Parts: sequence; C-alpha cells; structure tokens
Amino acid sequence: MDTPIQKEQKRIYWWFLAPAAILYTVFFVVPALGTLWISFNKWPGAGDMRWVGIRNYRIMYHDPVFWLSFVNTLKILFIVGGATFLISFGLMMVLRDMMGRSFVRSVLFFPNILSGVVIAILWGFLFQADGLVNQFLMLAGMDNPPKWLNENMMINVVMLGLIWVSTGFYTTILMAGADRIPKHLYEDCALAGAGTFQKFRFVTLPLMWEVFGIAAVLWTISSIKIFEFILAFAGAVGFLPPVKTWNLALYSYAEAFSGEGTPRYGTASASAVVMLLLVVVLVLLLRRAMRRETLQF
Amino acid sequence: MLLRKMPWPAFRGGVPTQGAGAPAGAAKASDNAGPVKLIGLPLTWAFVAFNIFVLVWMVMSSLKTSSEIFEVPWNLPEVIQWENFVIAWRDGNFSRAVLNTVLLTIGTAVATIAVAAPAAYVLSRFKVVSASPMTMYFAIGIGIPAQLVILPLYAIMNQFGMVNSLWGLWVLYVATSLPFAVFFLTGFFASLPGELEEAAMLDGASAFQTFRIIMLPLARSGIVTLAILNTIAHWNETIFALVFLQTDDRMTLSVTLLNFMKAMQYNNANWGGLFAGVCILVLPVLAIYLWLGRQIIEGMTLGADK
Amino acid sequence: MKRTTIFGAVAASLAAMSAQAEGGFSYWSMWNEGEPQQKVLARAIAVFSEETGIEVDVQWVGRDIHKKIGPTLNSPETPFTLVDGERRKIFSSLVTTGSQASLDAVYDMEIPGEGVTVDAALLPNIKNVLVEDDEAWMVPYILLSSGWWYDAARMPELVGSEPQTWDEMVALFQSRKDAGHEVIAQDGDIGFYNLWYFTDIAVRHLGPGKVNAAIEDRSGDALRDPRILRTAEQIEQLVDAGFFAPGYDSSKWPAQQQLWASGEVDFMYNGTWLPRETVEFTPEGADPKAFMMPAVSDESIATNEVGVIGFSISEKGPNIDEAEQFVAWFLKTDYLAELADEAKVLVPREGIEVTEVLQPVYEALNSGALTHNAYDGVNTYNADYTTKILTPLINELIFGQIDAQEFQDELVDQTTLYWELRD
Repeated sequence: MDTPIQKEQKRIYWWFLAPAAILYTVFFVVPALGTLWISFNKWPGAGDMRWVGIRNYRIMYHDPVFWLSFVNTLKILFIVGGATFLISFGLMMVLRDMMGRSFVRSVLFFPNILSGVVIAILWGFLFQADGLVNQFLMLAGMDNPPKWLNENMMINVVMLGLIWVSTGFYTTILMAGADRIPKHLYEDCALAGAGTFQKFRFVTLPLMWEVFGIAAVLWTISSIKIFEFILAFAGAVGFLPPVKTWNLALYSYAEAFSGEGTPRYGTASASAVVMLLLVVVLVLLLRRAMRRETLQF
Repeated sequence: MLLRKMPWPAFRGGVPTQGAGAPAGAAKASDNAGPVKLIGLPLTWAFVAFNIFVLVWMVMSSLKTSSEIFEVPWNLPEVIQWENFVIAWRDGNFSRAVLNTVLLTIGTAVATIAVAAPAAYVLSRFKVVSASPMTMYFAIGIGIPAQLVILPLYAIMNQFGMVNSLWGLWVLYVATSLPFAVFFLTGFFASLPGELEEAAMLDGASAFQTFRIIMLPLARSGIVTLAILNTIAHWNETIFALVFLQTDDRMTLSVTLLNFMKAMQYNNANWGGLFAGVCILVLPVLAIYLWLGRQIIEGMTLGADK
Repeated sequence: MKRTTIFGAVAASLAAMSAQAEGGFSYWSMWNEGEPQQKVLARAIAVFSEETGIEVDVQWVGRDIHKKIGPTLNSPETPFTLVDGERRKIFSSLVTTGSQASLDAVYDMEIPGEGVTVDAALLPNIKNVLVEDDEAWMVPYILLSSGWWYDAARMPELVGSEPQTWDEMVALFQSRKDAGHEVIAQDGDIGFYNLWYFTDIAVRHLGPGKVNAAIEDRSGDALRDPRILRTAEQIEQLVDAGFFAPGYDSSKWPAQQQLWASGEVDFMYNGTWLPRETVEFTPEGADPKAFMMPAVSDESIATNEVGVIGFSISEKGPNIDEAEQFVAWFLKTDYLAELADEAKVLVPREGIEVTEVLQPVYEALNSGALTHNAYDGVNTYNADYTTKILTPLINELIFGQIDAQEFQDELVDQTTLYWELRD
C-alpha cells in the first residue's frame, strides 16, 4: 500500500527523469548501440560495411598490442587510482581545517585545466636524459640515472603525471563531500572526549561513505577511457605514442581515428565494447563492495 | 547525535555575509594536530609549491624566445617578449572563438544542471523500483569514449540538421555531460537529511517546490563543483567541436588553439607563441576558478554549516 | 545576445548552403589562417574568383582535417568539394573509402596561360605515387623529402664531397666522432623518425615499392631476404659505433633536433621541414644543407623519397569541374614560386627558384632518378602493421635492445602471425 508521499513521488518521477533520459538516450546510447553493431563489421568509415561476425574480437585476442593495452589499462586503474585516493584523502584531511584552504584547493586543481601539450613539454624538461630530475639524481651520486622517457619506462612517467593531475580533481570532489559534514558533529564529538582518530572513525568516514563510493566509481569509469593525456604526453604532436604506453582507449583511437592508414572501425568499436564491458563488471563489483545503508544527517 | 536537526541554512539570501574569510574550523586546528598534520602540512605545501612553479614556468615561457625556452628552461626571460601574445592573438584568430566558447560553456553548464539535478533527485531519493537500474544506466555512459560514438552520432546529428551549428553542439554537450552529472549528483542528494523533505511534503508543498526550495539549496556544494568541472571540461573539449563544427566563424577556442599550436610547430616553430596561446586559454579559467573557489564554494558551505 | 549570435550563425549557414547550390565550390584546407602557405592560397583564390567568376568558399581547417573529413563521407553530399592535405592522411580518409574523384582530367588540363599540361609541367616520377587503381587522385603542390642534414658553416669541406656510399658515410661519422664530436641527433620518441632508417636503407637495397611488398608477403619469406638482414645490420652498425648522441633513447622531441640546430650534434636524418622547424634555434651564420642517403651497397638502387601535399576532390562534392579548374590554376609558375619563396618549401615543378637550403634536395628530385613514397608506403598501405609490429621492433633495434638477427627473426614470426588473422 503506497503512502500519499509515495504516490506523489511516483507521479512526478518520470517528469523529473524524462528530459535527462531522453537526451542521453538519443545522443549517447543510440550511437553507442551503433558502435556495438559496427564491432561485428569490417568498415573503413564510409561505403559498404561487411559483416564479419566476431572476427574483430578474434583479431584483438591474438594481438599482443591489445593485451599490452589491456594490462596498462588495469595498471592505471589500480596503481594510479590507489595512489590518487591515498593522496587526495590525505589532502582532504589536512585541508579540512587549514589556513588558506580554498586557495590550496584551487592550486591543486590547476593541472586539470592545463593542456596536455604543455604538460608534455614540462615533463620532457623534467625527465629527459639530462633533465632536472636526473641532474638531481646525479648530484645525489647516481651514476646511471634511469632513462625515464625511454619507451620501456614511459608508462611509469605517464602514470606519475596522471596521479599529479587526478589528485587535484579528486581532492575537489572529496572536499565537496567533507564540506557538507556539519561542524557541530565534530564539536559534539570533542565534548564527548573523542580524539582525532575517533572523530575520523565515527564522523568523517561514515558520512563520507557515499562520496567515496561515487569517487571510486567515477575513477573506475573515467580511468578506463583516459587517452588524451597519454596521446599528448607520450606522443609528439600528430604522432601516436609508442605501443608500450597504450591503453584500451588509445588502442581504439589508433585503430580508427589517428589518421594512420585505413580506418578500422570494426576493431576500434570492438575494443570500445571491451572497455564498456570492463566498466560494467567493475562498477557492479564496486557497488556490491560499497553497499551499505546511506547515512543521513 | 546523528539525528540532531541541522540548523536551517540561509539559502534564500544568496552568498552569506560571512564571505570568504577564515574557514570555519580554523580556530580549532590546534586540537587536531595529529601526525596527519605534522607530515601532511609540509607535503601539502610542497605539492602547492610545485604547482605554482609550473604555473610560473608556463607564464615565463610565454614571454621568452623559443631558444630560451629550450636552452634555459628554468631561467627568467632575458627580454620580455610581449609580442608572443600579440602573435598568438592575431595569428590564432582567438577573438571570434572566445565568444562562441564562453556562450557554449556557460550554456552547457546551466542546461546540464537544469536537466541533471531533477533526474538525480528522483533517482536518489524516491523509492521507485526502476531508480537503481536507471542510475546504473546513466553511470555506464561515463565509460563510453566520446570518439567511439562519433560516426553514428554524426549520422543522427546530420538527420536533425545539427551539424555545424552551435545549437547542435550545445545539445550534444549537454547530452554527453548527463551521465557524469546525474551520477555525481545522486550521491549528493542521497546523503541529504530526509526529515526536512518529508515535513515539507506533509505541509502540502508540491514535489517540485520541495525540490527547488529545500533539496536544491542543500546540494549546492555538489552543484557548484559540478558546474566548475563541467565548465572546465567543455572549455577544453576538442573532439566533438573539431568534428561537428565545420566553418571558421563557429570554431571554439580549444580547437583554434590546437590548430594554432600545430601551425606554430610547423612554420618557424614559435614555441613562445605556442605558450602564449596556451596562457590565453588557461589563465581565464584559472582566474574564474580561483574566484569561484574563494567566493562561492567557501561562502556557500559556510552558509550551510552555521 | 546568445540568441542573436546563434540565429545569426544558423542564417549564415543556410546562406552558405544556398550559395553552394547555385555555383562555386567549398574548399577545406589543412592550413591555418596566417601561415605563409595559407596566404599564397588565399591570394590565388581571390584572383581566381575575380577572373573566372567562380566563388570559392574556403575553410582553413588546420592539421586535423582528416578527422573532420571522415564522418562527412557517409552523407549523400560532402560539405566540401576540394580538399588538401598530406598524401597519407588524405589517402586514409578519402581514398580508402572510395570517396575520391579521378583527377586524370586535371592532369590533362592546360595550366591557364602557360601552354603546358599539368602532367607535363610536374616533375617526373611524382604522379606514380598518386595513382590508385590506374586513376590519379591527388595533384601535388608541395613536395617533402628527407636526407642527412648538417651545418655547412661548421663542415664546409663536406660541400661538394658528400659521401656517395655507405662506407664513406660511416668513415665520415667515425672521423667526426674521433675528433670529439657528437655525430647523429635522433628524437627517438618519434617512431617514424626511427622507422626512416629501415625503410630508406631497405628501399635502396630492394627498390621502390618492394619494402611494402615484402611486409605484405603473408608467408613472411620476403622478409627472410638477406638484404633485410643487411639493412638491420647497417642500423646496428650505427648503434654499436656509438654515433647516436647521448639521450637519443630517452628524450622528448624536439630536444635532439634542437641539439642539432644549435650545432652540438653534427648530423640528423630528417625531412625537408627540419631547417624551418629549427630556425629559431639556429645560430647566426649557420648554413644547413642536406645530402641524400648514399648508396647502401654495390647493387644499391638510386631512388629518392617523395612526400606530397596536394589537392584531392570528393566524388560527392558539388561542382567538381569548377574545383578542377582551380587545381590547374594554382599550379601556375607564379603561385608555386611564391610558395617556394614565402613558405620555404619544395614545389613540384621544374625551374622554380627554391630556397638555397633545399636546393640539393630539389636537384636530386629533378635528376630523373626513381622515386618512392615516404617510408615506401608502409605507413600508408599497412599503417596498422607498421604501428604495431615494424616500428616497435625498429625501436628495439635502434635502442640497442636486440641485434640484427633477432630483429629479422622476430619480424618474420610476428608478420606471419599478423597475416594469419587477416583476410
């Protein structure tokens, strides 16, 4: 039996939801289904499509570069994700009651609005053979400093750059959540004799659980499609970066959009479908792991 | 403890008078000086210092000659090259792109919130069976790489006559912002106090009134954050603008900059001009962000807390 | 404000469409406003419109033009008729989808006022790299090539006595190294710059088009050719001798080419655009010159790399005949001379004064020797293979991680596996 409130809710539910649902479906979901269809075809982007069944997926399965890209995607997801969260969380704790917090937050966010090309030039100066980092290392007594920008090492430097950029972004999100925790809760805690850790354990953590969940899902999803950063960073302008730095999104891009040879929309789409499946699986797992009652305050 | 009622926020009065002064908890910093602080503070400032260093380096590079940029990357410019900015502004043809971009980014942020906030509200707070799967439906969209839907999308946009039109790109930007926006806001609405909403509804407020007068202001920090992220994302967006805008008079700043940078490298490799172009794109956003960060976020969250 | 701007925009686009329907054509160009190439083209368009009455609606699209072309090709009518760009990029967007118009008619057209056909006016051995299924699909207006760049002001003794054979070249490098110089600058982060050594040496062993043919041999046998191994050994020789300047395997473009420009490194194997790209780093009095890759063996085949920037026409664009007229129009000596003078590029006609820096390359292309596609076409016809298999292996070879024999073995193995999965 519905209460009056539930009846009212059911009445307006679709009115509130429809504009978003329709726009999203027409301009994003339908084209995405088109992409799914294309993944079973061989198609250079115009003219006749040729149905090839699952061959595009088979090609990828046997393509070492695909697996390289797959591993790099997971590396970015877990290593960059883990580091970003630890740092963002630490920053949030420090920033919560620090002088000049809004200034600090703005400065931390700054890399997000920098163009990838500029970051690439800067990173070049920092990490190349005789760059600033190696000059420090040699001063510190290291004779053969690492070749940071060699294709075998490059993915690590890319990940470092990603941590640098994403930290500002996720600190902003976590702080938006932390800001909504009423100060009086901490005051109540303090009155009850709670220490820093207890405040964290009984106020911050439970009240921010939802925002953590959002941030985690957000990272999972968006980390899988990071590609402009790698493209600008690891490749010189107009060129694809070395395959050892590719992730799945870059693999897709390289198949059809880089302007290198006949576009292969079939495999590009197939790789996008793999990305999407990965996203669905990971998000379902994550939601299961994070599931608990939402606290209200 | 958790049920204690939240003091009523001064949401009708716009930005509260407390303004952007010292943060609420600053006075209490002393009782919180754990190990987190001891290690955290210096590290935080080191991080901040690095970012400021990058910013200064970028601005300095825009005032140097190309050979200075590469031969003495960390030095100050010997002679300040203001003409880099003149060259960038003139050859980059930024002026006509600026208006397009400003209108497009602001229009997109406003429309995205107008469409996404109601959806996020009902998805997160109404006990309707389809709410959870619908939330997932939106969330999955965040994982669709933009470049992969371009071909089918072009066919659809062409059908509606939306190619090479700023209106068309605006609709597209809003549509593709929705997955993130809806998903992001559901979390904020979900953790808002429920009793206010129920009280309002029992008092006879319509669902729409409840949403607009009570829920929306409470989610302000989330909405402002979203607006900022959205603005920055579209300020820098290149793929859709590149494909769906065809004539020069409708170009956006990011595409113009991209072309300018490639041209700068191709002819004469004027790296100073390239950096000047980047500054033209980046500095306004940074200014807005600093301003919003100080005035809006701080003021609003203070208002909600006190 | 917003309303009027956007309505204005819509009105303008409607106006543009109706203009197209009546006559005139649209032209999408890879240049940006303000570039010297753009200025020459814009002047030519203005005169062309005035004299013929044909309106040209030109959009200066910039370098990402191929990304913009792709999605439009599925419509019944493309929003452009004439397009220009690098050969490889136009090929991958226009030609692989069968959207190009045949330009055979243009090659037979007379260049207005000059009494000579396009075909006869162009340098020999250029058209052959612009033909697909026996039909020409591009008309060049700028040429690119590659060679060993050096500063003649620092090494005046080299002018006129450039190395003619591989051994002479290695001896030259060794003597420079012994004298305490860094020898070869190499931006190793750009795969194509590494790939050059392989294709430009191998093509002189095998002949134009044969390198691309070798990688297309599904059995992998063509790659077991001893001349492929010899190519790899020659690259290995440069690596083992320590000719590559320190940091070549771990720097970011343009770090190494800038070392070359400033005179810290002697040579750089690069394109005809190198002097222009590095002009800001070049000290006063420098005199950049290039010699072509010398004979690589006793049976070496003399051939020069030809990269092309040119015009193509969309089969689905309106008023193709008018666009064709413009293409022939732009090949007038006057415009090409302006292009050579103002943009410092190579142009595809004889007897035009090109910038002194490019003179040796221009003469080589004029010599009537054979020509081959940039990278012998491997990155045009087999770009996927080149990116995923050939370039990574070349990188390992150049960075000294594998030797020549390992290179060949791996190449054969990976190539056969690659083709097994494709039809």
